[in-house]
Formats: sequence, C-alpha cells, structure tokens
Amino acid sequence: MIGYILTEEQKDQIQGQEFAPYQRFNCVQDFEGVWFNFLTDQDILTVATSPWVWILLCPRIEYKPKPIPAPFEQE
Amino acid sequence: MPVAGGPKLTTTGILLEVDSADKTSYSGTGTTWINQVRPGTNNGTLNNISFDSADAKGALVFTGSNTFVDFGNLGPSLTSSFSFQVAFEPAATASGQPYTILSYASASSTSSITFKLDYTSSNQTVVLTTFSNTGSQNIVYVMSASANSGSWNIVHGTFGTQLAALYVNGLGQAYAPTTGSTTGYNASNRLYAGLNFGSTSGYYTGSIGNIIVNNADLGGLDINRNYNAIASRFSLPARRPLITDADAFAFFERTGGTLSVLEQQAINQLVLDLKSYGIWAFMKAIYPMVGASAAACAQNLRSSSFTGVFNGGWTFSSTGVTGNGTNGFFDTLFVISDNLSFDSQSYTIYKASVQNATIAEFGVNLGDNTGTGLYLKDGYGHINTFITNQVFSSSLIAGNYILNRPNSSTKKLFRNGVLFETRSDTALNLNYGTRRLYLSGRNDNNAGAVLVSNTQTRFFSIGDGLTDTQANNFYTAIQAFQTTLGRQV
Repeated sequence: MIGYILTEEQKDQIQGQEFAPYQRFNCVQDFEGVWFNFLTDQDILTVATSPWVWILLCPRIEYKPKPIPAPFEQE
Repeated sequence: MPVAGGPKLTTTGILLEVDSADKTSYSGTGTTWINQVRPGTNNGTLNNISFDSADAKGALVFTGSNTFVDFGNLGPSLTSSFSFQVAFEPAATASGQPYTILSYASASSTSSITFKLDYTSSNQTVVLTTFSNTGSQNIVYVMSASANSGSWNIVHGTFGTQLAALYVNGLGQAYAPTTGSTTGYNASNRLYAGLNFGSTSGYYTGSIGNIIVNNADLGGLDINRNYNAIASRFSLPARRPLITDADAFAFFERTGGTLSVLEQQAINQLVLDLKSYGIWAFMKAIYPMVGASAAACAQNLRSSSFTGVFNGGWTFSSTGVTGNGTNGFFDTLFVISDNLSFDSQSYTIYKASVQNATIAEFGVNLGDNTGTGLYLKDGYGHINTFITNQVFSSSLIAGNYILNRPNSSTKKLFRNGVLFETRSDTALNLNYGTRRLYLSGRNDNNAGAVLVSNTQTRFFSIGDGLTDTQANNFYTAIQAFQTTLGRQV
C-alpha cells in the first residue's frame, strides 16, 4: 500500500487529531521505523479542505509493515 | 380535529372521535361531546367540565373535583384488539395522584377489553394498563413512559394479538408482547375520560382536547399519521413518517438526519424487531453501519453512549464500512470490564467478505503479548475467541457471527443463525483492564490496533449473553435489516 511519509515532528503534529467528525489520524511505522499516514479517497477529499492539507504534499512511497506479532497461542 | 392541509386520520376500525376544537363535536357550551364517527352513539356526557376556547383552539378543562366525561359502552365490536388516542395537558401539580386520563372498564371486573391510562405529575409519567383474558386468567400488561406536565401530549395505546404498545407524541416508547388470546366483550364497560369508571378518586386535573378509539390494533405508521394530523395544533413537532419508535428516532437524530428513506425504514424495523424478540435490553452497543459517513456509522443505535471513533483510513458507503487494512480501526470506546459481566457476553458481527490472513475482525487483548484475549479472526482455518486455548474449528466465511458466552462454563459460536459450535470453558476471569474493544483490529495497548482488517463490516454489536433462541432471533432481525438495505450475504 502507498502511504505518505512523515517526519517525527509531522507525526507528533497529527497523531490522534480529529480531521473530520468521528475520524482521527492514525500514523503507523514501517519495518524501518519510518512514520506513514494513509488516507482513503474519501479522506483525501476531507483533508484537502482542512488545515492538514499539507499532508497531501508529503512524499508517497510503498509501505512495508513490521512483521506481524505472534497473534495467538493457538495456531 | 386534523389540521387543515395535514394528513388525514386513519379510519380503520374507528368507533369514536371527539374533538373539543371542532364545533361539530363540541359547540363550546353544554354537556354533550358529540362522537363525530357515529353521532348519537357514544356521545360524551360532560360532568362539571368547563371550556377554554383559547387553549389549543379549544380544550375541555378538568379541575379534579368530580370532573369526568362518560361515553358509555363502545359496543360488541370491540372484542380482541383496540387502539386509542388522547391529547391532554396535565396540570403541573395536582392532588390525588396518580389520576386517570382515559379508561375503558367496568366497575366490578377486568374480564374483557379493559385499559386505563393514568398519569402522575410528580414524576411526569404516563402509565398504560391493559388486560387480556386467556380463558382461565387475566394477564395484566403495564407500560410506562415520560410525558410532560404543563404542556400538551398526544398519547396512543394499542393492543393486539401479538403486541401492546404505548406511544407518546408519535413515537413508540414501550411495548409488551401479548398472549394472542381474545379479550372478550363486557357490556358493563364504560369509556371514561378524567376518571376510572367505578372509582371515587383519581380525578384528572388538566385539559383534554381530542380522543379517538379504534377497534383495531393500529401499527406504528397509522399512529404516526394520526399524530401528525393534529400535532401542530398542540404545538408539538411533526414526526417523520417512516420512524415510529423513539429509540430509532433518537438514533436518526444522532446521525445528523442523514439516513436515506430505506435506511430509516430498516433502522426502525430493526429496533422494533429487537424489542419484540426481547433482545434490545441485552444490548449495550449496536453499530448498524448506515449513513455512508463516519459521523453516522460511529453512532450507537442502543444509546448515546459508546459513540465510536474511526482511526486511520476508512471508506464509508451504503453497504458498510471498510478499513484499509493498514492503519484503519474503529475504537468503540467500550471497556468490557466496566460494562459487562465476564460470564455473560455476546458479540455480533456481519461481514461482507473475509480475508485469508492473520487479522482480527474485532478484539481486545490482555496486553501481555501472549495472544490471550477476545477476538474474531481470520486465517489458520479456525476462529479464536474469548479465552486462550479455546479455539473454534470453523473457518471464517462471509456472513453473520455471534460469539456468545451465556454462562460461566460455555461459549458458543453461531454462524448465520445456526449454532455452529459449542465449547466448554474454564472460568478464567480475563481482565482486559481499561483497554477498549476495537473493530477491524485488536487493541493491545489502547494505542494503534494490530492485525487490522481490510474487509467490509455491515453490523457490529456488543451485549450481554444470549439464549440460543435469542441468538437465532437476533440473526433473523439482522438479516431482515440487511435484506431491506439490499446488502445481505
């Protein structure tokens, strides 16, 4: 999945912030600890008219997640 | 008297209609309140009642001092079901509470159709009592709801072979399943306003403007229509024609009024079904995922509590909500340990599709990284839930799932209405602490979710443990809801 790359400061600026009613940013780290934000097409339309529009100008690259933690004892 | 240009009253089974603002029903003087449906039959006889021409365009005033109206017996056609409507304005304070606003009873028995609508000003509560005769015993149904003193209210009561209901100002407030037995005819019954026939106390203090009685069990849409026909005269708000239940209406308001006609109908029927099945009271949070927006889908149908928050990337559509599988999860704000007993829990989810991967459709963890916790997950060909070392062997497919813990020693999985698997359970008391239950992911630490899902959810609920019958009925109600919306699996 393609996501927006954020600096640590940018992440701190938006993490958990409400960008639309009942919707919050949720930044996640990739396998190298780089912060990403992901927006759906609907989200982009909302963010484009918000104070967070600068996110749409951040570089976009492929996201490579961290290994999935051991989810269950019973596998 | 219906407001000019407004909806007309339903005439189904109508036996009596009196209105103090209609000159053809009450002239403003005298002691006769003419039944407009059958003039001369069941005309009301006013006792010590005055007329206020300025209140709601004309209202009869009951002082509480030997004031009542006698309409007589309504005849043999009223035998098995009925509905009534009464518009009244209770005095803010009155003695002799509770007092009777409207009743149909005999002085000596309750062996046939009998109903009584009482009001208590001190707690501003209206109480409807009805009786059904099964042939061997009388069954009493009592329903209550809030109604304001010092302002006008329009109350409807209905009684049928399956359900009795109490509406206040056009919205269903309380329901009671009935036995289906006929209630019979009693020639000694008399319809009274302001007093219960045969009583010497409990005189009503306040005003009455309109009374209707039908020998039919009117449905919510007819009640809605009759209410809207006269509401504006009493300075009451018009109701939407598709929503008849108070909780469905409150939910509609919380969504910002954004639901489509179809969604309004589906939500209203879902609420009625859950109440009829006796499931509603067991639920803590119901997310029907309608309205195609975060603001609508975050709302809890059951109450104004536990309005959730969508985190990360989500897509909202008329068919449900879909996380992006990377950072999207829904925080219900529901802390299990604060709101449910460990030995009585149920979780219901309706999935449009599933993914063959290690993800959690919903979940909360103990936070010890052992994987111990509650979750419904895809992958590995089985479903893991509730307690470690307890794994359901079924694979996940699209449809409805109910994970049910009805008691301390059992957990059950229902798939599309069928009891799919039962497991005995050791009574481990898992403490999730303050961790909230997440949808489309698992909450390990009240921060971001892990094991996030990218498939569409069309319903999610959290509640107390259910019986097998309740679980089956729950699926029936949910499937009907999805079918109405054209998004059933």
